[in-house]
Amino acid sequence: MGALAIAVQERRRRAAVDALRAELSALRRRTDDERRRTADAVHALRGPLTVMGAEVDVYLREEGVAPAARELLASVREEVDAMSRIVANLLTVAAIDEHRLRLNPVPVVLLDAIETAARPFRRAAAAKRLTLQLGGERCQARADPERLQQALGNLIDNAIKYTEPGGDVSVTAWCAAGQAGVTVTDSGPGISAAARAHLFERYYREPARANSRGSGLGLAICREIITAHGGSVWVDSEEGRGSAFTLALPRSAGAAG
Amino acid sequence: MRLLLVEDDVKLARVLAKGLEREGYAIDVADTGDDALEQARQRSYDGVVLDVMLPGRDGFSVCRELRRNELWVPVLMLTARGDVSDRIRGLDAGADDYLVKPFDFGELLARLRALFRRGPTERADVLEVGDLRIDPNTRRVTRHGEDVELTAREMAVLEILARNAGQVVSRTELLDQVWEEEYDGSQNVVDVYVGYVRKKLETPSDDRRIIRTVRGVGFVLEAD
Repeated sequence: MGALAIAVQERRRRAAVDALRAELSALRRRTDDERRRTADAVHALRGPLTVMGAEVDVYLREEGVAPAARELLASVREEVDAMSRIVANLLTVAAIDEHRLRLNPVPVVLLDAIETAARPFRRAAAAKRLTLQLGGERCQARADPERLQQALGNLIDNAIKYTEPGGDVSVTAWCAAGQAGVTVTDSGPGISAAARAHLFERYYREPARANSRGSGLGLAICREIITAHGGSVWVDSEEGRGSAFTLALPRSAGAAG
Repeated sequence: MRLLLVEDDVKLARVLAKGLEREGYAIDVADTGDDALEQARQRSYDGVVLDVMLPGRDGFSVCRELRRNELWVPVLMLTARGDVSDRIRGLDAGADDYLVKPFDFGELLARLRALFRRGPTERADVLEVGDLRIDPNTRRVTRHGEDVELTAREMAVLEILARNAGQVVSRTELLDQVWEEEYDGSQNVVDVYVGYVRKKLETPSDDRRIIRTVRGVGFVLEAD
């Protein structure tokens, strides 16, 4: 081949590479736009959820609500909470993917945090005749209060969802050298070693429980939030003997820590 | 107890007003920021529930304007975004607390009760000295936008130096104001604490001390 032909070929090759690059970056931009639009749409769900929640809460505080109506509205309220959690998890995924997950860690008393996090689940636990026990040591961790609530809510939600009626769920605050954390223990069916390996992956659904409700995001988000705090999340479980999910956070230097 | 509820979502405003009235509060509703400021200037409220997202002037701006007018009424902000920047912006604007939407109505009541117990709190201005920013209200210190964590005593030392930026503050003054009567030991303790503050504030790129020692006199926080 002559030198001219080689030069022409080289020019063509470069033009093709440039065209591909341009196409790729356009595609990337489109994906980013798409992701942002989806996040905005998910975000917009918070408006109606806020109104629905407030309507039900305010109505339930009235006297003279018929027991059947009370029962029904309490159930609707739980679903509003469940949807709010899904929305929060989806928005967190978007924030993490766009590198916008910001934390504002402050000293948090873990006993108070688990009390708040468990409140929306009391009724669901009672409906399944589960014993929901909160306790442990009065320790302080350094955490972003909102994000910690989200992580704890996801763990408690799972424990209640997957434990058979009549079982036990306990949420315990603890501290150790340099760390403070919470362990959520349930008397549920336990998790196989194979499933444990994927449990914290986004959208992973344990085959044995694939028919139950859940977005497959709760545990993944929990781990991502806690890792972003410089902490860690893990599970101890044995099939047939229940599971214990633990999150460990940096301990707060606060005096009560 | 009279509350000003600032919310542009008609349905949410209606149900919150209804719920709060049932709890015994008198409620006025504003659906824009300007309307809220107008009402807050005309009548004195025991609390303000303030949505962040409002048409026109937003909740942050309303809150800042209230404080600028020396209206110290407790403000609870409602934000639809739980992210940190919104929360911090709210507190920086002078809000006392915030609640992320969607929220539990019982939680809203609990937060309001806590604010009423505390009552109106007059706020000190945020101090800015060069690239240093000190908020005595939230006790947050940043340099170049990065958080600097100080203990209560270090914070007190820095605050006094910042209030007198560019001027020498003597060891005795610092000792009197930060340690009060409880302390009767050596003035060296002041040097030790100034050393701690320096260590936390200074970065490797600094070409000079941010807090300068004036031999035999005291310390000066450089004003520029």
